[in-house]
Amino acid sequence: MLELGWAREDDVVVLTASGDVDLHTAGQLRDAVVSAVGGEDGVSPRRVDVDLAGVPFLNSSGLGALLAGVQEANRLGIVFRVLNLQPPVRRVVEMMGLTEVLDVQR
Amino acid sequence: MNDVGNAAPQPGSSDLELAAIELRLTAGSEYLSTVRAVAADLALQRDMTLDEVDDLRLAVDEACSMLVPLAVPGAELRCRFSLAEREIRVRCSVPVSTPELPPTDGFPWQVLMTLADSVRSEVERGTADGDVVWIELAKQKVDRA
Repeated sequence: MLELGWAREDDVVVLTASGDVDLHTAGQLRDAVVSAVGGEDGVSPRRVDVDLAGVPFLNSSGLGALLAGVQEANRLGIVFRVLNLQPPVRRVVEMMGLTEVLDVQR
Repeated sequence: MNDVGNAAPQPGSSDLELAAIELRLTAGSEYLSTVRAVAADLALQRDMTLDEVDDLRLAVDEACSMLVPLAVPGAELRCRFSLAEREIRVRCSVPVSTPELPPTDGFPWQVLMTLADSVRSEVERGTADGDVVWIELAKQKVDRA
């Protein structure tokens, strides 16, 4: 089960996820990040922050979902950041060398 | 059996199987959280470090996530956890309609290779369950003096 929340303040969107991101739920996260980047009304924000504080597990499908967000953000020229990684998630992101690509914040 | 050729203990030699647990479940992505929970629990029982527990949980998840999409619809995913003094070895398998190995050029395989100490995959033709694909991985405990 993955729960997703969405908040927009001025030109920043904060997407919060909570639950495991795996083969079953990664599609939900991918759709959410891509639509957050695109802007719900077609007006892209200046920045998207994906808050993963509530995500204790994320596998390669989850990394793929986040990278889809990065790709879309690069296309539209907006900032895409990932925040609040739990230790197991931080570990896989670092292991795959994606800390910079995902612009992981402390 | 010809496995990794380093100083690691080999199955059947000094690192004998102490116990084995086999999980059988419908090969659906919605059930992989159960496999992860079992993998983590066994790693904790074997006194692995928290990093090793995370690695085993993710490795088993990646292996199963590669197999589930290949499985015959409604088929069973089997995961056999073999516990030894120094390592946990896991073999995950599914019956398939097309006898092909999981793709080794993608992210899942890359993650799996990084996490596990050894990984093998094979297709077995014409078993009692038809054609079966399996992935076997091993995670060793780091020496802690």
